[in-house]
Amino acid sequence: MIKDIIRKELLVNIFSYRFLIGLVVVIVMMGIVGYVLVEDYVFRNQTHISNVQQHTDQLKNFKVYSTVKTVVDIPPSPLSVFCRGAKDVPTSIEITSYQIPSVVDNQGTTDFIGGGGESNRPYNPLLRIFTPIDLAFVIGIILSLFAILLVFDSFSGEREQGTLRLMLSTSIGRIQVLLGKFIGALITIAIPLTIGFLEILLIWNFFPDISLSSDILIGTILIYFFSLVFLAGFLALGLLISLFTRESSTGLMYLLLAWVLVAIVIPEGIGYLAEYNFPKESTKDLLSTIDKQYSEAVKKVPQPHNMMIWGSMDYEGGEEILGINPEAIEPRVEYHKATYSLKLQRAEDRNRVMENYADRLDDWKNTRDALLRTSLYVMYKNIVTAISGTDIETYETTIQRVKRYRESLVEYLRPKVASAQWFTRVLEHPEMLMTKENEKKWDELKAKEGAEALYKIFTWDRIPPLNVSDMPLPDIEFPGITERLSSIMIDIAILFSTIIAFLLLACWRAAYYKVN
Amino acid sequence: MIQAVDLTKRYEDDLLALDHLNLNIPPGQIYALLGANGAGKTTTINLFFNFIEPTSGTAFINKIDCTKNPLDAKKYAAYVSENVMLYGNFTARQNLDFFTKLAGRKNLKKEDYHMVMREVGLPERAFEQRVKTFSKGMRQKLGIAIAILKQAPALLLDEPTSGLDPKAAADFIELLLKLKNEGKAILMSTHDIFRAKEIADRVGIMKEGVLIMEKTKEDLGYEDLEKLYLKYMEVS
Repeated sequence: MIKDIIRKELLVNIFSYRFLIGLVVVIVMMGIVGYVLVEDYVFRNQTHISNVQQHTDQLKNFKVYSTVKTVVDIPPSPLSVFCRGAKDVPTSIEITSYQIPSVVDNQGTTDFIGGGGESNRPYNPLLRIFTPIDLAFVIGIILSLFAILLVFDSFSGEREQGTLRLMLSTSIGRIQVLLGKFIGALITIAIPLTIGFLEILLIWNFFPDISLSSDILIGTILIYFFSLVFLAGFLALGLLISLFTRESSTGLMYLLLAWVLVAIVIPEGIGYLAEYNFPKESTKDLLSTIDKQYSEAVKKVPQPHNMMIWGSMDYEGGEEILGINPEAIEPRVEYHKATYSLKLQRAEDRNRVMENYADRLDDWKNTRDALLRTSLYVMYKNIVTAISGTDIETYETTIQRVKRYRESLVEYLRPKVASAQWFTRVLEHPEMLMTKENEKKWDELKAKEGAEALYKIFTWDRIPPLNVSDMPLPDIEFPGITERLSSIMIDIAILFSTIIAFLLLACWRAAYYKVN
Repeated sequence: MIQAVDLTKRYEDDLLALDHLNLNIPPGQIYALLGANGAGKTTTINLFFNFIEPTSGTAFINKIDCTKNPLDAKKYAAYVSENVMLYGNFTARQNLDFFTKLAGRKNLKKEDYHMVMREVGLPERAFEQRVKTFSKGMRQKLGIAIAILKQAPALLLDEPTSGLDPKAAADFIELLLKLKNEGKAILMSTHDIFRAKEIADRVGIMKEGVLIMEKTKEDLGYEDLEKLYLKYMEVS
């Protein structure tokens, strides 16, 4: 008998104008937003590919060890079409001996990714309402509204119409009617949702750059499943409110109010209020103290007095010297050996400050997120963001792995500091050694061909790159879908519990609903 | 088949809608319940279908307690309201199909539905027509068609002829007599004194929740039911 209720609900819903209008809106919105975001992904992916190429080429072109750095390019997620996720997440992470990557940027500004750092915060709170449109927004806002419009008069409407009495005069139970209506509405809402997802698959097919890997397909199926679960939550809420009201119009008012609360007021309001409590203390003072201590320690390291150099460049703690006098090489090596330890120590100290700040930001974020979980929409968005791989947690995990990689890079570089190749290649190219004989030759050349001739000798182009084939490469494994899912188990649990609670309440209410 | 034992209903606002009603309708009998608006006729029918719960007393259908085992009891009863409301966007047949399936009757064919619709006097063109275009009389006929297809031995009708034109009302009454002759127990609340006298085997008059008079067709004899009704309405 429940099957007959489902069938009836499906037919009544499908042949209604509200379904037709909702279907058209969803198809158009998902098509347009899907196309724009897939195109955006393709563009970002092309940039990523060229960045990877550029950074791979860089690895083949180091002239001295002190300037060795590697870059981890974070590939854009094709599933970002569903949820664009945290704003301003870096697309690449640079790894050097001299600084340790952190989710808080190393300049010590207050930009905490996803946490609403100052630069991300719009001054006008109303602007927060217009969050970027992605498919999670279309499903979370538009389809949830559609779900409400499907069920707002489920019981009250049939009561007003008089069909509920006739239905309940048969031997069907009220809970069967409730479940039939719930499942019928769920199948109805699954129609535009399925069409929308098929649209995305179709759009992906139009772009040859996108290969539908099993990870993407599993992710898409999971997002589809959780979208349906989320919409089931709204349907259950709609049925519950319909059972608490005698008139459909009142039910619609209450449901719209609930929708505004869940979809707009709670996410935006709590987000905005939380920002008043944003840990704003600056890390600048602490960082400058560390830098000062470092400078003082460096000053105490003896430097070669008679150093003559040509073409020196500093690179964030590294040094490249084209020409140097032979007597200064050994003392310069000693100098670098001493200062490299200090530089590593400074990186550790700076990172400790940044991590402390990140921990405070994490606490703030956890409190904010706990409050935000009162909204079905936020829970849904958290789940989709995590499956899409555009969440902060995925970035944080990546940073942790990059840190471990940096340790292996430092281990590789540490012994190299004891060689002149750390900062110069003159020993392999004695014509650039600043000896008296060479200086005489250069003077003659200058007199004969002009000063420009010396630049032909002192050029990095003549120096072949270092052989770094044994250097550990940043082969970072980005968090997979299973790992990402494990970070949102709490959201999944709360989402399911909420729906079950709504349904149980609705069952209790249906048993006492007055049909006349 | 349809039995009320000391059936009482007091609403939350303390209104006593039904006061110790006792009645017993055996198969093959029509019981007409008369009374002014608010006399408790609809409350009585609501109690049999467990739309509301009694304050005390018991309603039985086929000896099954309608409060304790409502779903079982409802298997043996069919309901026709004053204004049969159906799904406007469904055709007459689709409505029949839906409600008879809910009543537990499966495997009925299109022809079975057509046959019943013919039996209740619906025109052929209406069979596959959307119900939203139907007149009240046609909807009432479809309501009785649902009740017939349910094959329930008890029929409870809440002012089924109110608002029907004389021809439609006469057709409807004819149908009821046919069902009575088939052995159905029928409880019908109505304002139509003349029709009540014409078809009922027993007539009850209700006032403010109390059954103040009950007479069989034989008891009534040549008595003027209208005068009797008015007399009871005026008393106390």
